[in-house]
This record gives sequence, structure tokens and C-alpha cells, in this order.
Amino acid sequence: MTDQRVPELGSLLTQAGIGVWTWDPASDTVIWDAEAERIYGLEEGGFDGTMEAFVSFIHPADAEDVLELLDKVGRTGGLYSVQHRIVWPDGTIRWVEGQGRIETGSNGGPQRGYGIVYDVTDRATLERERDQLRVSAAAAVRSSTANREALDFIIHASDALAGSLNTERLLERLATVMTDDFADFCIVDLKLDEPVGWLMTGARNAASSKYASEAGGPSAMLNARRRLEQADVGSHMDDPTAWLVLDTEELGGIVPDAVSSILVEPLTSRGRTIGSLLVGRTIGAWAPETREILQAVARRAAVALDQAELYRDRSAVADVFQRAMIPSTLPEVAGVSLGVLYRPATELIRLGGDLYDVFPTPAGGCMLVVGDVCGKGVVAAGHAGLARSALRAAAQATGSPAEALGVLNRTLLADPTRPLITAVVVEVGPAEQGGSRTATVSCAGHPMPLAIRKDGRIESIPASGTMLGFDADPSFSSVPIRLDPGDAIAMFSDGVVETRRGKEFFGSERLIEALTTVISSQPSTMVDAVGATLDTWTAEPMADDIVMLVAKVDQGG
Amino acid sequence: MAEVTDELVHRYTDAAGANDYPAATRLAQKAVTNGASVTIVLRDLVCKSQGLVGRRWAEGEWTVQQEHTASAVTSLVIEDLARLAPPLTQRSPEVLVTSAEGDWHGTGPAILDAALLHHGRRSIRMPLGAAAGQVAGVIHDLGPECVVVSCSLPALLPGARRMVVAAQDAGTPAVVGGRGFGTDDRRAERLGANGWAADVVELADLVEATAGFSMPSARFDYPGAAEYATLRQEAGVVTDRVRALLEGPDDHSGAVDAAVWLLKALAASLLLDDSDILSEDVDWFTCRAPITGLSVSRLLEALLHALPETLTVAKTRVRAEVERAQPPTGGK
Repeated sequence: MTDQRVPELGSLLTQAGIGVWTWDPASDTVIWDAEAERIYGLEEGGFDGTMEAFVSFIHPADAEDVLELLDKVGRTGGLYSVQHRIVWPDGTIRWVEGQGRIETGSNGGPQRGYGIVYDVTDRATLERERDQLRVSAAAAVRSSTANREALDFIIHASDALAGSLNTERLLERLATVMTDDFADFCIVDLKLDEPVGWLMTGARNAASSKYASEAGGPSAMLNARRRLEQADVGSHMDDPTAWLVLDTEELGGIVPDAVSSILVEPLTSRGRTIGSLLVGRTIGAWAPETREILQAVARRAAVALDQAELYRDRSAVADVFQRAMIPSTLPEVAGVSLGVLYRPATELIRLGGDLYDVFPTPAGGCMLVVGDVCGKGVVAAGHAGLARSALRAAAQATGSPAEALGVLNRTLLADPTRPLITAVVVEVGPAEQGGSRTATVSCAGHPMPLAIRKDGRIESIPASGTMLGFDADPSFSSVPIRLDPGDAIAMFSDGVVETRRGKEFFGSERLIEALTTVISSQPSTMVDAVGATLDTWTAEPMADDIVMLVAKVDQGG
Repeated sequence: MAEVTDELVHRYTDAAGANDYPAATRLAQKAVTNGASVTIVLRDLVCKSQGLVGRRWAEGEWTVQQEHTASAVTSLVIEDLARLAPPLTQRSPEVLVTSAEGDWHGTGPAILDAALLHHGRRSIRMPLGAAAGQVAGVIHDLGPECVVVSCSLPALLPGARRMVVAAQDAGTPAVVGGRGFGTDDRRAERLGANGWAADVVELADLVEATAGFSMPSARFDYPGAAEYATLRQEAGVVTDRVRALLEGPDDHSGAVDAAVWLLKALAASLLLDDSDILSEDVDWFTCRAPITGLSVSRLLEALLHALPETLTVAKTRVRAEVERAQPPTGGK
């Protein structure tokens, strides 16, 4: 019966490229039609009808699965469908799909089998290619996401490190960024005398941030640094277990107990190692690209930290200069209140050509100095520092404002690179009967100071004299004035009266007017009022250094 | 929680204006003893009193002298309130407090200072009149966690902007507050600040949160912003023209000063794209006109004519104020 059905369908199936087979369990013979033989790469009649021959065509990689399926269906009967590779006698690999039925007899064993087979190589190849594309597309997406995330992280870190020139702040930022989602903890260690490493644990929780030096004490941090230096950082980079040993043994008290892996990257800038960046995880290991990310961040961090160090040095230089030009704080002078307004036009480095000084005299009074070096910036600042110390020394030695100016003039004339300097020096004498004091005013080409009377009168003190560094035979008048309790003297640089509004100058009349409104205030309030008036009066930015010093004789009681 | 009543604000202000420091500080301390936190007293007594002092002066009830006296007393009271703060620890975070560049009102920063102290913050206070560059230097030197910029008047907002930029360029977030910023966060946002505090109580919370701030960037993509830059550059020329227009035989000496102030308000309104800034100051001069004798429309006309032709947004703003200053004629 079976044999009859095959020829009926034969030509139709052959046209469709479908081969037909039958199996007789009793004799264990397999019959293939010509198309089936063609599909298996055989000549017509080339199949010997044995099960062994059929099995030998199945691709070794698929054989186990196919035989397991056939064995199962052979025992229980039923329908099956299978797709697998075959190997032709010439070695060509093809994909076939087979569908068949095994019928069982009354004894439960297989009685006969039949089915079809067809070549699906083209379809299977396409499917495989599609699957592969899917896999590689997914991988590509994964890897581009990882790249994107790495880039985002580096940008985020760069942003956090941009701007600040303060070492502490940078250390904190770096540790915060590293523990945002990169690492579970981070230690930044700079090779400074003080261990200023920063340990940050627990992402996004500022409360858990703390100095490494607090976690294990400064000695633990120094100890850890020594160990890090002894261990060759580079050689251990790829072997987290080496570091694991190091931290539990040697970094005790600094690194959290449960550590699964640590990475250390040296911080190098301008060809020298300035410190190290250590990051660790408590769970899981690092991805392979992690080190590159860490290196990128470490490079940026090292440059930022190095710049902060440079700035610190420069800023310290500027501070030294400024301390030479002006007192860091106004001294306490018994019975005299002081106020100062000091605003250098060069802002960031806080240096200008204006100088002032106040120091008590042994007699119980004080010496007041305001000066202005022609020029601006660092060069002017250097001369201003020189002028201030020369004036202070001379005033202390001579006790006379006019003579002090003379000494500075001679000093300047001996210096071929001298600038021109204007200055006013006032000696406020000791308190006399009733609290009044006598002040002696000498001026060298400087705007004349103002006497501010308690009753509201404000007048210029007519002291005149030659600009310094200019004339070998200068003359400085000494003008004595009496300051009663509540009276004040105001000395100022030309920057105050020469503040501009278009073509107009602020001028001394406006200055007097501004002081009049605060006549009974403390000197600090008086100078602030002048500053406020200047800023309100003009819509233009400040162009020149400004200094104003006010000394007021305290009222008894 | 004890409330600070309006009656207490008046009594306090009277004491301050009368130079009665002992009475003023007693009233402030009593409010604290009654249960109000120092920050609340700063907000509801000291700040409100400052507002009242300003109104009394603007309306001519008080002289400049009285205003100064009240401010001096209040700064002593603020110092007393600051002293009530618990001691700081070695690790108290530092905050830098500064006024806007050109803003010499010392009370605002002093209040901020005291409030921060009560929230466990060490504060670095810049001297009044500090320039933005100076502030940048101090930020780099000391590395505060945050900069607080106070601005007392809208016309001084460009100076606040310079402080915000100085802070952010130094990698430090800037939080702003003060009367100059108005009653919502709009102006602060325009300036690119990291946060705006409605009052001194809010400020403390804001400063706590600055660690998570990202740096916003102010866009200034409206035409007025470009005109602001020109106006700042040309301020001297414009001032000269205004003076030429205003100086006459019967000139009031304050006219040029007032016009210069309106010029600043105009510049601020351009930078922030906020015409209210100019309107508010025009209204203030109008309110003060009975005392000062200044004609506000005359000032505005002079300003309008002095502005370079190219500043079309600026001219439109001033013209709108000129029209607003003239009462409607009712189609006569």
C-alpha cells in the first residue's frame, strides 16, 4: 500500500524538491526515493538502505539530538519534525528538515515509518545569519551603551574637576564623582606632608564622606601610602587579588572590610607623580574597560590638582606681597577708632599700587600712612611693599612724618628703577587734657587729607610737598591740627576723587558730602558709606585702585 | 512656637531708630526666649524691621540719619543673635557670603551670616564692596562648599551675576537671595544661580543641598542681553549725554544721579529680560518725587535721548516707562 502511494505523488513531490522515505522496522531497511537521494548528495540508487548509512550523513554536531529524537519516536510512535545539518559524501554541509510518522502495532512496538525530507539550507542560513546579526547587534548596542556611559562618566568627572583651584575641594569632588556610581569607595592620596586623602564611601550620601585620616588616623593613611609606594602599582593593576591582600593586611582601618577588588592609578602631571587614586568595590569585579576610564579620569584629576598647587604657590606669593603693602588687620590703638576701604583694581591677585599702614607710637598715639605708587599690578605692588616698610622704619626712627618722607625720597633716588610715589603721613599724638590730640600732617604730592569735625565741618588739611622719587631737594610741610574727641581725619588715594562718570570726576566736594551724612558713625561705617556712594554715583566699572583710611578720636565715656 | 508680631516689629524698629541698642537687642533676645528660633527672629523681626525702616525713609517719615542709626543698631543686634549659635566644630563646612558687586547694604550678608552659623556652617564673609575677582581669589584659596550672594536692589542684579559667575567658574555652586531677586525664582534662574532662597530660613536648607547641584548655564539668548553688554561699555558716553540734557539753569543736583541709577536699572532689566526691574525703580522715584522734587518723566526723556540708536530694546523699555509716567489724557 505504501509503495502504491509513493508513485502517485512522486512527480509532484520531486518538482517541489521534497524527498520521500519509508522505514520497515522488521527488516530495519530504509527506502529513499530519488529526490531524497539527491537531497543527501547521492546518485540515484546510491543509498544502500541501511540505518547506519542514514546516520552517517547526520552532521556530528547535530547527531546526538537527532538520534535521541528518532529513538524516542521509534519506541513510542507518533509524529516528529526535525531540522539538522547533513554532510554530503563530498563534504558539503547542508541543512535539511524532515517530518515523519512512526506507527505502532498492537504489541506497542513500531510497525512502520514514513516521511518527507527537504533541503532548507538557504532558509536556515538566512535564519542563522539573522540570529547572528541579532546577537552582534545586541552586543553592539551593549558596547555602545557602555562607551556612552564611559564617555558620560568622564565628562561628568571633568566637569566636577573644572574650575576649582582649591586642593581640598578638588579632592572632595574627585572622591564624590568616583563613588557616584563607579566605585564603592575611593581614596585620593596626595604626597603632601599632611595626609589629605579623602575617603568617600556609600554613594550619594554626603554624610558618610569623611577624611581618610579620620577613618584610620593619619598614621594609617601614611602607612597605606608607604605600602602603595613599595608595592609596584603597575604590576598589580591587573591582579586585584594582590591588592586584596594588601588592603586587608595593610590598609586596615582605611578601606572597608568587605572588599572584592581595588584599582590604583597614579596621578601624574608635568612628568611627576603627585599622588594616587584608589577605587574599590565591595561587590563584583571591574569590567575590562574600567581601567581605561580610571586612567582618563586620573589624568584630568592630576592636572587639576597640579594646577591647584601652582595656584596655591602664586596665591601665597600674592599674599606675601599684600602683607608687605597693607597690614593684615588694623591694629588696636587705644582711644582711636580706625576704618579702611581698600580695593585694588587688579582683582584676582589682590595687588595694586595703593598702600596704607597704621602703627602705634611709643608716645601713645599712632602713625598713619596712605600712599600711591604710579603704575598698577605686580610691579607697582613690589614698590608699594618697599615704600611701606621704608616709611614705617623711617617714621619709627625719626618720629616725624616730614622726615620719614625725606628718607623714603632719598631711598628712592638711589634706585634707578624707582617709580614715582605720592604719600601722606600723619602722626596722631597722645591724648592730652580732655582727650584732644594733636596730629602732624605731611604730604608728598598726595591728595590732601580731610579733617572731619564732630560738628559736621569737613575741611582739607593744607599740607603740601614734593612727589617722592623725583627731586633731590624736596620740601614737605608739617601741618599741625587739633583733633578733639569725635573729630576724625580721612586720608585717601586719588582713585577716590578721580572715580569717573563719563567725563566727570567724583571730586572732593562729593566726597565731603558723602562723609557729612555719616559724620557721627564709626570709621568703618564712614568708609563703607564712601564706597557705596562711589558705586552708586557711577554706572561704570572701577578703573583705579582705591584706598581710604579714617581715624577718629574716641569720645570719652 | 512663638510668633513675632507686627507690634513687636514696630517696637523694635522704634528702638533701633532712637539709637536705643539695649532695648532693641532685649526685644530680639526676648523673641528667642519666647520660643522662636534665631533664624525665624532674623526673618520675621530683623528683616521685617529693615523693610519698615526703608519705607519710613522712602516716605520721608525718617531722615537718612535715622535710617543709618537703625541699621547700625540692627547690625549689633544681629551680632548678638549670631553669638547664640552653638559652637562650630573643626569640620563645619564653610560657606562664603558676599553681597552683589556694587551692593553696599551690609545688613543682608550679616543676617545670612548669623543664620548659617545657627545651621552649623562656618561662614567666610567678604568685606562690603568686594569685587567679583576678589571673591574668586578667596574661593580658590579657601574652597568653600557654596557661595551665597545677597542682592538688596534689582538694579544691582548684574553685580550679583558677576558674583555667581565668579563662584561657578571656580567650580562652586552659588545660591542667591535678597530683596533684589523679587518674590520668586525667576530672576535667580535667569542669572544662572544654583538656587534661590525666598528668605533666610529657606537659605539654610538650600545650602545643605548644594552638594548635589549641577552647574546651570544662563543662556542670555534674548536681544536685550547683547544690548546690556553695549550699555555697560557705553555707560560713560550715555552718562555724559544725560548730564548735558539735564543740566540747566534750574537744575536739581540729584537729577543726574537719579538718571544714572535708572540707567543701571535699565541695564539690569536688559540682562535679565525683565522690564519690571526698571518699572519698580521708576515707581520708587515717582513715590519719592514729592520729597526729592525730581520729575521722573524728565529723567526718562533724557535717558531715552541719550541712549544710542542701536539699542532698540533699551529704547522701547524706556519709552514704555515714559508713557506709563504720563497719566492717560482720556482722549482730550
